[in-house]
Amino acid sequence: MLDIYHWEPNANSGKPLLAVLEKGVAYTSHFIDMLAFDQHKPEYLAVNPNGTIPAMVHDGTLIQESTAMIDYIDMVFSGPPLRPSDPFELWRMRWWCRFFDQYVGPSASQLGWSTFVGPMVRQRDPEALRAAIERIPLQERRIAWSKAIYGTFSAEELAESRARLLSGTLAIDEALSSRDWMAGESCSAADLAGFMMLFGLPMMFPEAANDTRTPHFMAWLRRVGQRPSVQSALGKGTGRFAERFKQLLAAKGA
Amino acid sequence: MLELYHWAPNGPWLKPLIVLAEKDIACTLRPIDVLSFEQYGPAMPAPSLETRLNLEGEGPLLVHDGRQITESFFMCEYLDTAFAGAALRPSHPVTFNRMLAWARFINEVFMPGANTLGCKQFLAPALAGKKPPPGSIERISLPFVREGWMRAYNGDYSETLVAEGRRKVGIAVKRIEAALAEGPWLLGKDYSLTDVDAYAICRSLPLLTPDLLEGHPRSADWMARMQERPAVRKALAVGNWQRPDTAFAPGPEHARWG
Repeated sequence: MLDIYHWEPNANSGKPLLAVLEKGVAYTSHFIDMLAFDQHKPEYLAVNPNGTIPAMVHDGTLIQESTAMIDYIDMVFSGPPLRPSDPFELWRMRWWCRFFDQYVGPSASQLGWSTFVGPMVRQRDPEALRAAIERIPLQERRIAWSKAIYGTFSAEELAESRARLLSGTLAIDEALSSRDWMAGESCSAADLAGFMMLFGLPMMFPEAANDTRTPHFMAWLRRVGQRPSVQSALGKGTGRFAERFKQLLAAKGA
Repeated sequence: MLELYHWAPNGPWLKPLIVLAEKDIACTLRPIDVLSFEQYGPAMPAPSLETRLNLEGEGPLLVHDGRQITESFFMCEYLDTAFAGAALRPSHPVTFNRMLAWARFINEVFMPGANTLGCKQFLAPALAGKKPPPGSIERISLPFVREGWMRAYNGDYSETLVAEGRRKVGIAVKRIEAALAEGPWLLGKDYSLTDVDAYAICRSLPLLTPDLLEGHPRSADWMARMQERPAVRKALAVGNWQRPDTAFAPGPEHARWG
């Protein structure tokens, strides 16, 4: 019995979803509305006391950390492997997962929060917002959420994020100039995690990611985007993320 | 052919040295003087894309039949995957998941916290009054690593930054103590790469944050057991350093979301 607690198929929430879809694993989806702070409500804290999403419960055991969830799903269930068997290619997968999760991913989400999510959330009742932040169990997450909600990113921080995305997309493009997948001979956790962190970037920050500047990166986004798992997770939706996904595929060959 | 380019047996450099000794892997050790920026000089092989982008800051480089491997924890996982000997990765998927969660926590929270304090206490005084060798900083590709070096040259550690470092070390110490309740090792009954990963950073804490270690008996016992392991002794003896636990150079960045 596998239960996945997740928000929209974007960034971290999308990773375990793509992994189960890739492997054809049956699971029960629990949609947690992150912008309504469902993840800090008692019902969810009973499942994951840390109040972070996504989370996964498999046969009664809580599994956390979105990228590491892909490893877990790959280890436990049959289906096409999501990690290269060659030790060096496995290392390369780890390296790119770290690059996506820790280096470029947070900058992409900072841009997203500062331009879209932050302003939207700030329209709510200030007292209710403050109470919502108080309820967050992990101190690290309280800091992150107050930064996100109150938009306390300095101009300097945002400029740094943009600079990082400008150089980061070039690095990814360079890596993909000599191979189709981030690591190994087929789609792995690094491709799934990287796609989920960055598929919105060509629309959100076109100066960094476009067909002229980063053609290999763009081709890779579309290659991953054509996979049945991604089509299933993002192709049918109508929300903001599904819209970005449609634009990404529609721009093909443009 | 297996070669490890390393500095003093502390922090990220200590981790692969322990794993090599635990698994009795033959490896040519190539000591590098990080304070002289030899890691960017002609002693090194031409860097691969991933080596150039040193996300870990200053750390070891493993070269296996010409292929370059960086990032100390993933390097340890590579050694454990590619070489025979007692496995140091858990085979159970749940425990394996915990190992990866620890690796992320150590790299994003514990290492940056301890590294900031270590650079302030040991690196900055060693560089006081000096300037970086011409061209050395410009050769570093990631801005946060360049900034880490300049912060050390300028001795520029704000109270906020130090408090942040201490806060993160405090979280790590508590997390280690809690994990050892189910011990004897961090992932439970078996010694693993997670012990190596955490211990390599913990080793300097008696110098950096002695007060934060107080009242954590299980951690103290675990540190003592780690120190007694023949592989750890062997790794710590590499290069005959008097005080390897004082060797610090700019490490991974502090996570931007706190």
